Amino acid sequence: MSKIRKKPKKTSKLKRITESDEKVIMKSLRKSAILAGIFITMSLLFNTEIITYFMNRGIYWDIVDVSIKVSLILLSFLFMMISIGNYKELTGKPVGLKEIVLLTGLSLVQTMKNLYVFIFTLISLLLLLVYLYLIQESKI
Amino acid sequence: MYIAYILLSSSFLIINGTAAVEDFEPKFGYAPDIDGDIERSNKEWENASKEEISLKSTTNPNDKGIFTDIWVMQNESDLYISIQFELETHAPREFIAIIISKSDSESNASFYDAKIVQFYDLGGSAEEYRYRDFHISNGVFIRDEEDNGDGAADLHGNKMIYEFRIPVNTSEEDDRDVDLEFGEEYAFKIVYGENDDYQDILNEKNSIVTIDIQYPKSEEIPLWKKIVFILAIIAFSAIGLLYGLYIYKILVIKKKVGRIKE
Repeated sequence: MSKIRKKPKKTSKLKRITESDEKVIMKSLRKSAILAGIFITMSLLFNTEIITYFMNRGIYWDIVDVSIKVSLILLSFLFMMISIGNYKELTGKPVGLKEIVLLTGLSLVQTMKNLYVFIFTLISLLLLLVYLYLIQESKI
Repeated sequence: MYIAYILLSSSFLIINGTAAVEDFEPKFGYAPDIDGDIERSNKEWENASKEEISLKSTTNPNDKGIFTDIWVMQNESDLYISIQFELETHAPREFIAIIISKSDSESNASFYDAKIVQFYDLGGSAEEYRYRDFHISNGVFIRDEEDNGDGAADLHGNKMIYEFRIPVNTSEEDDRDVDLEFGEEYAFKIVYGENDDYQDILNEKNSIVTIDIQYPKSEEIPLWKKIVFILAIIAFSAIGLLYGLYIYKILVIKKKVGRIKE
């Protein structure tokens, strides 16, 4: 008899999610998806420069403008990641590299009109991904 | 009415012409607020052509003059001129007059239109300034029925900042103002004075500059900006579509979870 236990099947893992857990995950999934949608819309307004209220009004306003743009992208990334994580949990799969790369790419694409926004978003996203990776590891 | 304007205004002869000290070809920029304050945080006057001139008395050859910064810029509708100088003490009834020639001619007879910012009780409790518009007929200053343009001034420590807005290329028929046309050069006489009766303007300090009113340039958007704009539309459309697809997947997830459980 083999000493190494066979990996449990995915379906058996799924069965551990109770009905109440499923409801909680579903709620979280929807709420984070809605929040992500709100932040994506706001990011669209600022990063496509439809809203230019803070732009070209001096150095301090430029800092405010870049901070808002970066924050909106990061928040939309974070909530989207939470939502996708919940979705994947319901379907019994982990968030894969494909999803992470796609989300990162879509976040960076939003920065194309401003070099400073791109630089700060890239740094922040890398830090955020490292953080998410570390908390994932610590759970195990 | 006409006589009243003459009585209200003061009459004087135009001082002898002096050669222009600076030629300006103003750049286009955003309209500054005409309030006697340069708001650098708002990038006011950022595109202005900036030169230093000396406002000197033409009758006193020993006059050292007042070293003055003159900033000139324009947009499609107006010409903007700022006059700035520092004095240890400012006269209570200080004024700056911009007298516009009908052409680039600097002869006395050519100067026809005068825009003046006049102070009253400068430094006192009743301090105020007024912007006034005159036209000149046979050396007589006659107040215009309507003040064309705008002017303001403010003292910042010892530094006085005057700001003027003068309309360009106006379509209105107006024989009391010089119509500054695109592509034409005009002489501008900048006059500093310390009273409001203008009788002594012969002895006032002045300098002449010429300004070539520029045609508005059609702003050509660079190709890379167009490409970035199109890419931004494509990118955000893709994000929108993917988000829509994700929302659809959320809506049908219950069925999917049910199938997996089975």
